Amino acid sequence: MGSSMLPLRQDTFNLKPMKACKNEQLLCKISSRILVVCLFVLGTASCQKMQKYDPDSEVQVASYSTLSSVNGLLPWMKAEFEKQLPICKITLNVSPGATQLVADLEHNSKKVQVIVGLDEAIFKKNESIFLKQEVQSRWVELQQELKQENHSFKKELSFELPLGFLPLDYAPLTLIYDRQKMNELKLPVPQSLSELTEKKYRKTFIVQDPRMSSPGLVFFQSLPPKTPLHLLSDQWRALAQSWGTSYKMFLAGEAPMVWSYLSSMAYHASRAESQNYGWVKLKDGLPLQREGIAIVDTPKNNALFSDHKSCMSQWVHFFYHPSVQAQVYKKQFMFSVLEHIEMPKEFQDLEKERHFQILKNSPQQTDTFLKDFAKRLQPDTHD
Amino acid sequence: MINLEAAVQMFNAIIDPSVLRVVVGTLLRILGVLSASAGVALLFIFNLKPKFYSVFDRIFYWFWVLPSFFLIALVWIVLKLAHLDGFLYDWPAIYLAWFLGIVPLMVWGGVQGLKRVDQNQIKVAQTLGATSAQAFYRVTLPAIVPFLTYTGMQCFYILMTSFSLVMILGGGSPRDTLETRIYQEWFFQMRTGVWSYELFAFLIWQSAFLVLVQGVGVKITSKVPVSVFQVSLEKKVFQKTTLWWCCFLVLWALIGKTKLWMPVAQTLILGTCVALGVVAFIFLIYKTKFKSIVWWGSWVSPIVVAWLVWEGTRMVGWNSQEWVSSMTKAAFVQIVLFLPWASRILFPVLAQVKIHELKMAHTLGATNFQAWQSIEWHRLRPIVFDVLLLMGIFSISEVGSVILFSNENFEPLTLWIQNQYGRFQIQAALTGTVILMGSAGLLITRRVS
Repeated sequence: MGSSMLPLRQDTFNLKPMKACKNEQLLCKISSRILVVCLFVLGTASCQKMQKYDPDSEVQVASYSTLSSVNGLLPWMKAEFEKQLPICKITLNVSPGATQLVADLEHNSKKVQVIVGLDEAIFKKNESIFLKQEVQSRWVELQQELKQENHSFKKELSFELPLGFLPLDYAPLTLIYDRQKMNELKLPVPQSLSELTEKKYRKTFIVQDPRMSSPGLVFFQSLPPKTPLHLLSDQWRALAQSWGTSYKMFLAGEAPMVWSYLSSMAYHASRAESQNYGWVKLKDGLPLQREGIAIVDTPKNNALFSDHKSCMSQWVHFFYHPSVQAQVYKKQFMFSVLEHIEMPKEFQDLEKERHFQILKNSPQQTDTFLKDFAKRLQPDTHD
Repeated sequence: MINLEAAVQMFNAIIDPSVLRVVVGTLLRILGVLSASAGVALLFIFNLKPKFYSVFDRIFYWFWVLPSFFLIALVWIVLKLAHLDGFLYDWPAIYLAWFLGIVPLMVWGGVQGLKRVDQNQIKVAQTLGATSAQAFYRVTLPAIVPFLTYTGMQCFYILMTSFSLVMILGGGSPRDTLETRIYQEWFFQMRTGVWSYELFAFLIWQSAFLVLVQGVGVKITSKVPVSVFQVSLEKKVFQKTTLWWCCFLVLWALIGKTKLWMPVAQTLILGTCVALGVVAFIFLIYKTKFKSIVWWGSWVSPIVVAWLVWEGTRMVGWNSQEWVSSMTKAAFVQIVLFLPWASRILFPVLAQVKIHELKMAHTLGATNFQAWQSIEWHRLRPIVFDVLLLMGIFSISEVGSVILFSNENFEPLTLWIQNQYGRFQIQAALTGTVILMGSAGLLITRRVS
């Protein structure tokens, strides 16, 4: 073995200097030193960058298209947040609709950590995949912090808040009507949803398909339990695929009434159209849609959320900053969940409406309802 | 291992009264529209003069390749202009669109039969004292029945698989057919993860009807010569179409107001892949002993094949929503669906192989490929080219085969239009429809053999 190594060592030591260096030794020395210095500088910079880079500084956020649109709440928040905490990076993953947020999780190659804009019913249906205890204790802390800052959570919204669900915004739902069209048709404004089965309201309103739209689901779940759906199905003008579609149809004059958010009135007020439209003050109260934030339950997310200094934790906390909650009115046309937040004047009267209807459907009941929905539209099915 | 409980539940779903109600409702509505259309078509044919026969050759292809979006736009505009808003978002709007789409096809079918009627026989019958009606009943009608039956079968298939039209003009549930219920049940299953036995029941019922109609119709339509359905397209059309699309893409890129260029680009890629894929598969299958396999896709609803592929890929974990992945699945579905139509044109041509000329070429020293290229390919090229264009038209007009694979990364033009209608963006939807119609129109033959 030793004999086999000997020639190699000899060869190694017998290496002659390169010709170029032999001829221009000074230039060679200088250039080699410059090279060393450059390498050192680059290496140090790279090391510093490596030290700065923290994989947990990137937060994967999923939300639906309206929230993530160019003028939506999330892009604005992302810009503000990254300005305040440059070390953190927020990545927005977009689903076409709120109903598909959870369904899209399994298709998304990136590991989504925070879901924003989740409807309460969808949260309840999928609550097993979300962090609960950690979020709940954090929610209690958050409320105390808010109190100190004189921004308490609206008490009327606190009923049966699901464990692990952080409320972001809310809006009561009701029927919005076109005053002129109602007058032309000599239609009285209904006082309850059960009145919609009356003949005079035939083809006079647009509602959303509950299988595809959250507001649509709220509509059907707000109906009195014994409302015959097959009678109601003759009454609606169209069962729209989404809230956006239904409202566009309403604005185009396809029907005098539409099932929508109370905040739609604020939109019309901002366009000086509030005299043209009205909203129905349902005698049983207005059903409420609460949108919130949920954290996907993984050991990593659990650890990150427990750490108050982590980017994910601070990002979630940022949603309750007064400036962000003020933007909820402006960018989402929804109501803030906090009291004493600066709001546009169009919301001020609407904000006083706090007579809400409490929907207590379990996820199983919702699934059964959705599954049987088409069946219940048939006349021979007893509701 | 078969899960007995699941099998029982599936069976129960098939005979469930609510499912049967949808099945019977769909069937009655389709048969009603078919009967009315056939009546009007027969009346028209009876009064049609031979010099106008050629007019319907071109009209047929318009209605054959025009997407249902054209009919949606037409009915929507007509009802609005006529102040018949009450019919919109209800069955009458759907019936009207079906009727307008079906009657020209029926007339065309009858005209193909009329072309083959011996006019001398009619004259002889009339000389012997037959009235016009008697001559029509005794001479003309027997000749056109196979053609009408074949067209009727195609119309049945078109109405049974009608999707966008019902969804948009019907205004949603309860205006449902088997096709829309399949989609709704799939959507529910996809959203909730709860298996829907109704989905299975609707798939079975729809497939059963389509296969049954094909089985009944094959004997009658075997009298219809294949050449009737051959398409011949002018070569220059391809160049014009390419130029037209390029101009359009540049225009939209310059305007940049919408993201329409992406659906258009995806549609073009999909159409090209499908057209090439279909022809490649035809050549491959022709070399095997399983030529009849292509007929499997002939009478199956696009959404059924799409669902099978969707479920299959989901089960093997191929859930990626990248556009290439979604497009590959959609292209596969379309290839399966379009193979029968391409084979109907290409198989008879491939069968007319010039064996003697090929042998002569071999004798003179040509290789297999050289002989094939100079003799067979030279003969096949124009027809292959026609088939490529026809498959391209089919592909760009299809909705049912792509809807299950669509997502934010993959939205071909047809689906984009459907979504625009769905979002009540009527102006955008009409723009998309015009683009689609323009493309299909440019690809349509000017001469039908």
